[in-house]
Amino acid sequence: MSISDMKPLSRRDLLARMGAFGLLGGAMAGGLPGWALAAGSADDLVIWGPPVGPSIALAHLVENSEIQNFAPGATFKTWRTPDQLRAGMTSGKMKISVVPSYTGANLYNRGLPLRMLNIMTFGLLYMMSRDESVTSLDKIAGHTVVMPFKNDMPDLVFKHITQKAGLVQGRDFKIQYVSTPLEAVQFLLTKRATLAIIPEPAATAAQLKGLKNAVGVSRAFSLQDEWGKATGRPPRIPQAGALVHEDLLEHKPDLVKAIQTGSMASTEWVNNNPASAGRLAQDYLGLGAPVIEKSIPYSNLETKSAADTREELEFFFSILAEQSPAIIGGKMPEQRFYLAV
Amino acid sequence: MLATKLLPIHRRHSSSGALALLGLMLSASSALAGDVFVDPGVYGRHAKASPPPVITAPDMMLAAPDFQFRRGNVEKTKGVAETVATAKRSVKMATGYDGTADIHTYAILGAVKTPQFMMLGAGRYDTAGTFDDANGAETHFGYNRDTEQVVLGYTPDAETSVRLVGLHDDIQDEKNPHYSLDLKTSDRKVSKLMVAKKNLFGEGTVFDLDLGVMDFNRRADNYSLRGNSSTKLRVAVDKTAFNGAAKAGFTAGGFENMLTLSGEYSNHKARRYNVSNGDAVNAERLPDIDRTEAGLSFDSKTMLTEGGEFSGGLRYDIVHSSPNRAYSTVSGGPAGLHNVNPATLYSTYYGVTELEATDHNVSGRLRYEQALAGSGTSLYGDLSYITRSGDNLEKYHGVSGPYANRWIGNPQIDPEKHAKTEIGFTHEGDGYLGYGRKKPGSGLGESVRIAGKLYYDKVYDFISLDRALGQDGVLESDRAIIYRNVDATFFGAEADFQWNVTRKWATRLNLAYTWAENDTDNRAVYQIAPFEANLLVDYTDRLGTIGTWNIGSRLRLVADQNRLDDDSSQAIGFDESTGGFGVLDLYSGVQLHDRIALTLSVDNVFDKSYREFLKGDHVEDPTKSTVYMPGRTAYLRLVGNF
Repeated sequence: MSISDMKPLSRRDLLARMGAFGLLGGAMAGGLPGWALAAGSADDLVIWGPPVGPSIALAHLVENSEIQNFAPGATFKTWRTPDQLRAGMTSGKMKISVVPSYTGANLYNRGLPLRMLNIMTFGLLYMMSRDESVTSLDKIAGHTVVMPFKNDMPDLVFKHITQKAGLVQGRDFKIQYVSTPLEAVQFLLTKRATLAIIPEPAATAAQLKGLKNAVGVSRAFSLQDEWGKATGRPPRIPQAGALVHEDLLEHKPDLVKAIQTGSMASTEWVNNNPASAGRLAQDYLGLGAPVIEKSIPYSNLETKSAADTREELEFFFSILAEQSPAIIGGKMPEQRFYLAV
Repeated sequence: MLATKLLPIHRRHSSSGALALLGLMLSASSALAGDVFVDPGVYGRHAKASPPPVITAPDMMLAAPDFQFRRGNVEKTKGVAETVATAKRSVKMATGYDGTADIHTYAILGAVKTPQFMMLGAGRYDTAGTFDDANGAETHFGYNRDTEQVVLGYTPDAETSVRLVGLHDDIQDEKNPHYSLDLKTSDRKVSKLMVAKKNLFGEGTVFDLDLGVMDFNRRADNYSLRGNSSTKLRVAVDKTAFNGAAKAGFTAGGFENMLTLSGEYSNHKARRYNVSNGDAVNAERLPDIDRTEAGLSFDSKTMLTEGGEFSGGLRYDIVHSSPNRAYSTVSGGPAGLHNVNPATLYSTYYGVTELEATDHNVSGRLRYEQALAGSGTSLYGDLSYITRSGDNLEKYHGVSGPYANRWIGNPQIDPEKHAKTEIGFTHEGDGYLGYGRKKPGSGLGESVRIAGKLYYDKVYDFISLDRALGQDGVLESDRAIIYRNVDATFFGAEADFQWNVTRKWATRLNLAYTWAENDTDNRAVYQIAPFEANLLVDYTDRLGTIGTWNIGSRLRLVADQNRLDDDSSQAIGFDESTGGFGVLDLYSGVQLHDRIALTLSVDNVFDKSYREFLKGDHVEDPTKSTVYMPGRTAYLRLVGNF
């Protein structure tokens, strides 16, 4: 498919793009009740994010007094559905949110006034297995791999690394597609599947649920590690980060700078304090504290500016676009997409 | 920081002691263990003394060392150390120093879990010395305590689990400043096998089987740990118990039901020896008592309306006890008033010659709880009729001596019957996640929790300590210590208010009041806790990128208890007037990387001189005294995980 092909951003497309976060089906969320209205005015800054690891750092950030100095009353909220994110970003009501990096590129290429501020996680994808003998990519031969979201990023990454490893789908392994990572977890726990690709924190949840149900689920290998082997690059995937509306950048550049600086410190705090971060995640995101605590070491949380990650991102986008140009909006984003803050 | 549940107002102890505590602690392995809706074990002998609760594995890192004179309805907030102590890591260690009584603590815990197996091992050692009260007087106090626990678990499939638990707790060289005997050793060994199986009797059914054994040995004397130039005495207590329970849960017709069959056999003996007289027995305190209990209960619950749950239960217990050595010759003397066997004492004071006793006890309970939709508020009403048989002390204690020092149980004492009515409510705002945990984005007054309850307990045949004054059913008037059935009324009220002001600031106010009257004799029941108020203020914050820290205070205000039973010429005279007091404690903590935490606290900041109204509860004796509490003390604890 040509890289120049462009398709309208349908609800289904955006739905698929969110798949890598494992949001749909409530893989991680325990179910959040409706939020009470936050104290403060309608102009208070709201930082948005899905219920995944990088969002914990942003939740920590808004409780940091420095951010409150720039934006009194700043809060963090989760968006629950891709529709909510699309509507918020399109309308401009969401000024800043964590999104998949390729989703950011996609929205930018469709003309929305959005820029990538940073990358906050360098890979959340793991091959989870009920067979302890499967410890590397070459050991999947003869197996069926359960994959959430057909033609989404995990699927494209997996196809790339298996191709580079000389494995042929259909001959050496099969893929069974499911709707959500939660469904993939259930396939493992009910022993309908041996292998599944699952993002964090759902991958850790699968392990912990397995312990409770006498089902052994192990972390066979990291897709980030296999990506490194396949590409000859560092074993990491610039998977998600903060996307900023140009309004915010134009009118409050110091705030954006403070968010970037604060995000780096908050990410460091989350990595250093996984148990405390778990409690924070429980309060903000409705995620189980023990699951988050155990998943943080595997979430590859690190905050780097988009500009500093540009080369890595462009390589990542190019690999994805080889198989599905539409995933990034049909073309590589321009240099201005990558903020240097 | 976790919310602390409302504590029971009465100082009532489960008669099952260590086993009950262990069962509750390990109930996570079974949906039914610990879920006994009609439970006579909620009532125990009034003002009962016993060895301290066993510190089980989950609490070993943070539990304060035992100090039997320390009271308080609300614990100090554990603070940020809790994230280190509860982190999901395999090994945890803790060490601490408590200036209350020069107490050193060392604890370690290790656990490993695979999908089908788990193993946990934990140990803790505390050693305490003397302490100075706020007036600078040194108090005869100290102990050494070691506790070990092992848990082995096997989960062959999602529907089956097996747990084997072993626990050993030994307190040695415990000095009692409020009593005439020190405890050389209080040694408990508990083993329990728990099997849980789902769907054994069909889809949706649950079956639990628990089997346990407990062995308890206590040795006490008045000379090993204190100077004694008069008569040297020692006491030996031994108790062994075998127990089991089978529970089956099933759903039918919209009702969730549980059928429970339980039983226990125990043997309990205690003797006092006159060491100065050739170590001869001078009292069969508990004359080798065999006690067998069996219980059958059925309870059920259903949703009657939207948000309205109704629960009901019935229970039948049979309790049989018999002493094997009530006629045993007692010769330790001094002669005369001392060398009287228990059977003679029962006959002399109560006219009781039939020593075996069998009680047929019926208990029941009804409860209705209604959640008010959309308000975060629930109301409840609870009616119960619980029957409790007298325990071995109340039935068979047999100590002779000078008349006023005698202490005699009544083998035929009637069981207590508690007819209790309780109402209460709980309200949690939308922004409340727990004490110290405010939902992000919620408003100033939205993160609150308010709870309150009132209860009225009319007790028929309340088993009360008393003095032999020729009352109905008492044949002597020599002021010996006896047990009688009286009618009594208990009333209690408790309120708890928690407010998370911000994500960092939290405060809590707890109020508790109990009133109790011996209706038969028209006087106050002894050892009823006075009105108490506790105010906590807590602050928690991040520490850069490396950790978190907290600081807090607890102000404890206790009123003077002016409803006393303090005249031993007219009644048991258990109480002393101790006056009201207020005590301020400050505490703080810091943790780094959720790997290591340091806690520092200062208790009794203003060096207040005070005594608790409720007496130290490790030894059983109505003549024990109150003790002045330590002055200002500091407390330091270090916890780490690997």
